[in-house]
Amino acid sequence: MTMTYASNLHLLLIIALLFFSAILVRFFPFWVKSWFERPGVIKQVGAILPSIIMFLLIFHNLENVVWVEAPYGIPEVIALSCAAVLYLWRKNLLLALVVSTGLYLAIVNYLI
Amino acid sequence: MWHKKIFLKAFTLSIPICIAYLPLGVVFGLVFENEGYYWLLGPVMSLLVYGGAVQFLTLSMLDQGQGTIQILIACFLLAVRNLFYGSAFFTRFSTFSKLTRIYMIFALVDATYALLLATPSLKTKKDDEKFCIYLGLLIHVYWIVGTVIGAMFGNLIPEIHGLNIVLPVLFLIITLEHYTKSKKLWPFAIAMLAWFFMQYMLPSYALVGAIVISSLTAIVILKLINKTDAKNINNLEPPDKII
Repeated sequence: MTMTYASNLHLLLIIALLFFSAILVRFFPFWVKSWFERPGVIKQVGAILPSIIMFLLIFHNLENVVWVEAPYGIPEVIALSCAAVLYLWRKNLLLALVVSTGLYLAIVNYLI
Repeated sequence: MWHKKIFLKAFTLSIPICIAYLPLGVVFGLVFENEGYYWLLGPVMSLLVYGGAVQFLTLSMLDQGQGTIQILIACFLLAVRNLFYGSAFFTRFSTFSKLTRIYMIFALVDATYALLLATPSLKTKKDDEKFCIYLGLLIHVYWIVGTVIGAMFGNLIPEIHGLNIVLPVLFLIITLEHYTKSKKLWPFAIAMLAWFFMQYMLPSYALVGAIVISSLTAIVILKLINKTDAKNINNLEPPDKII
């Protein structure tokens, strides 16, 4: 199915609008920087916010995992535990990432 | 530090993201091509919009015949979590040149945000600026190149299933690092509660909702902590006399 000239133009318009939307969303904190820099609760929240966001992103990226049917998310749990153990033991980001990803790929592609 | 050394450092760090974003970009390029749009618009979208979820959602909604306004609103709500990323880099980006700063702010997607948090600032501000821009550009390039490959050759590439695990693993490692540094468990506890609460109430906006709820709860908790700290200072015994 090939799109018409009109639908391509429509897409281009949407891309342009999404571009401005992306700018708005990503630059906004820098426009209101002063709100965060005054000492107080906001500044303290800003300090722990990255930890909270990182933690939530784990769950967010696991949203599509099916926990109630086989394989019950066990490969994901194995990969994450492996990464946690390796990282806490060796403190090496790449090592933990590569090994646990490799393990996961092996399980998911060859064992299941 | 040598340009090359800094670049190599950024490149090595970006390899796991390459493993996740390049194939994902290929998938996007493939889907984009299948929808039938002019192929160049795909990489343009990856360049200007630079957001996997938003780009996929747009294609899906256009396919369903949804209106422009609906698409914009849905994508905005999906992208609004990026709003919370900037505040971590006020100091770090403040010494960059205008162009670098503008690009780095634009490049704050999940992966770049995570990797920048994981890497402390380099010794000199100039070196750090180079490191950040190399990292940001590399990840953006992986995404765009993936789109191009997918749009042009997607049908020929065999799919390796399961590369997406790189992202949750990366975020887990960084979370562990944050915890070992801060020793504070309560932010993670409220985040987890907020997440499950949102999953129950409104799962489609779980991430943003959980961030907002966690932030508000954190404000309340921090206010209480601050109050008790102030009280405790008043209750301290005067120090023993120094002879």
